[in-house]
Amino acid sequence: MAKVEFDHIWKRFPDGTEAVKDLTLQIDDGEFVILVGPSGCGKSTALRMVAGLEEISDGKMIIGEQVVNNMTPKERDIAMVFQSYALYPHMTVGDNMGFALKLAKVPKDDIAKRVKDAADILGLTEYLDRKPKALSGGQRQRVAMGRAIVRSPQAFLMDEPLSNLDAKLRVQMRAEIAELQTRLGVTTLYVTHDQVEAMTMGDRVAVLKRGELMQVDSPQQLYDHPDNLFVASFIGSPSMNIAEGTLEADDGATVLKMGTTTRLHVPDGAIDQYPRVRDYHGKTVAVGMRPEHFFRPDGSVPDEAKMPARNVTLVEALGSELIVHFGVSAPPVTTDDMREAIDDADAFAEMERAAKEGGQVFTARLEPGSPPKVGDKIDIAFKTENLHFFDLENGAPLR
Amino acid sequence: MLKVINGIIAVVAGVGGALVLYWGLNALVERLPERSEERIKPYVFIGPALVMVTIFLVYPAVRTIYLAFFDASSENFVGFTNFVELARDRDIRVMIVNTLLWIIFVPAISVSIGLAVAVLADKLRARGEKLTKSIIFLPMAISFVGASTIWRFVYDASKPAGTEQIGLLNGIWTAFGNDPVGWLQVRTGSFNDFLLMIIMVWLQAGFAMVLLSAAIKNVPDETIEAARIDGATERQIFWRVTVPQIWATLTVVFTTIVIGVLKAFDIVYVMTGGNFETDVIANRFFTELFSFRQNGRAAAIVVVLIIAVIPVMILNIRRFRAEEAR
Repeated sequence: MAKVEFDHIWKRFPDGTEAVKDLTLQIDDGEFVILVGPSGCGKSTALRMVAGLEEISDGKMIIGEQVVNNMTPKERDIAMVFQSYALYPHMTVGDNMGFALKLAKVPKDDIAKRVKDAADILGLTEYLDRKPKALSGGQRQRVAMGRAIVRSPQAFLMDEPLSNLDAKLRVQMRAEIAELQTRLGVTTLYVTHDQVEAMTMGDRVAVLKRGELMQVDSPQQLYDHPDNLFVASFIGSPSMNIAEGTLEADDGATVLKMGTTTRLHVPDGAIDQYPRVRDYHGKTVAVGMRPEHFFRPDGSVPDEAKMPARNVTLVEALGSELIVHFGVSAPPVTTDDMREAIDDADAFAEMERAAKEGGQVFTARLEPGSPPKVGDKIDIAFKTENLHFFDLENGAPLR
Repeated sequence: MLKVINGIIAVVAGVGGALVLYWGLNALVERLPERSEERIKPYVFIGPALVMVTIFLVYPAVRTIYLAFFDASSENFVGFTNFVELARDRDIRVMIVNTLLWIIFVPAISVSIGLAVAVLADKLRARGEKLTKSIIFLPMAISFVGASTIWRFVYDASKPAGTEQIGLLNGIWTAFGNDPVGWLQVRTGSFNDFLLMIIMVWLQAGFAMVLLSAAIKNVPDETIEAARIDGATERQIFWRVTVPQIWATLTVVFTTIVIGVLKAFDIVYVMTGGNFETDVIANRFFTELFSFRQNGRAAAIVVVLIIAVIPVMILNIRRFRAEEAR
């Protein structure tokens, strides 16, 4: 096992596109790091550069203590799990798992033992003589994992290994892989575009946007303290509500005006998090509000934390919680950060249209019980100490 | 001109006749009550084809087997005499050895070249790949007779020593100060047989390449990459990952060429007429029938050919079904 280090890594393709830009990232020995980002952000390319399947245009790739830029995949001694599993269709499960060892001329008995051990761990023992064709999706995924673990490599590389599974199996395998990684303690780099995988599996999460590393941190840190507007809106599901708002000084306090009707008091707690808010008095900023920080106000909630009489457009009752969509008059932020984070041309076009009309739909995650109906007008309040503020132009946090 | 008009009339009448036949039969069936219509309709459409196949394929085959047990004039029953004679005849033994050589070498070499080109072209850029494959594929569009005519020029030995050679091979050979050689008459080590086989390979390599190239493109890139990460060398990747995944196609191509070889007549007929110990089975049967008027022997040779093809056909059909079932 070994650490994996990206040292100012660049990837330029012959047509001039820069898939990975100046990526510097260290994955410690035994650490589980997730690479996440919207499609086309260069996360798979970065992974393939570690594997040696993609040439490195610039910078140093280090595995253990060695610079591996010019090494073949074989010399790098890493194992990779592919999205399509890439099992050899003409080999049995056992042969698939033992192929690398066979090529490395490991004695037959030894191969058989290591394959059997791996199969036991993964619950594949009774399938060892079958061909991949005769296995279910989840079993194939396990064989792909088995092929990686029999080798006891320097590092595991996983390229969206769960994206071909159905939702239920994905939840199960997510836990299994995380558990397996902890047990084996192998340095792991895991690529995904799935929010939940990113948040639940890794020790740290690295967020990429168009080949650039935006932030790398523990999942909770990433969620609570995003380093920029892109990370804020990309991380989280349902995602953070983001709108334009104007900061104003009001008798020594700071007031946030959003749209035509909302005036929220910005408490000291929020300003402690984002002290530069004071420098932005009189300016328009991007305001971030996580869905779970909304609540239905009772009588004790002061007016300056309330967004009164919102129009309900959609209600999703999930049993444990209530997702309520409601209209606000504050225009959405339509910068490049948002376009990348939304990662859906149609949805972004819809947002731009909404921006012109000066309004958008917010999502709130409320306690279940007495759900409102579509078309109802409801009062909604916000835990204002959890407000996030970003510069509208460059997406930087107002810290 | 008259020929062209005749041709056009034949095409129009043939296609039109078939159309009218099917249309008429269909109209008839539709007059029946619905239940019988449903039941009979498939046969109406398969029927004519079945009749044609029976008349022009099944009947001649049966008839040929029947005639193999009669004498040269097809009048007197002679039992297995034709087969016994075949087994005794030295020319026939040479012919069988030649045919075996063809079966062993032509498919193997064609498939090897086709596979090599398919693999190497796959590594080229799109334009280079297309160009390479087109060039290798081109001879496939030439008829066997046409190809043979081209290669006659390559092997030409009609010009005496000291004059300019029109044959490519002799041109090169004499450029080194040698006298021209009648290449197609060199029997040593079946040399002239191999000269003929080259023509067949030239024609079939393109066919092998096209099918194998498609099969190789179907091999998922990820399995290749996975093998690379598993520590396989390029050679190991080819033999242990790529080839097993295109094995079905390899077999189909191989057996198809074997059948083609068994039917190869034109090349030998045009180049040597089966002389200089270059005879093969298809040409032999032709000469027995049309030159020697030996109906019985010719039929016996064809029966041998049919029996030889059966195992190859079975293998081919099995492979094809396995392919379909996947």
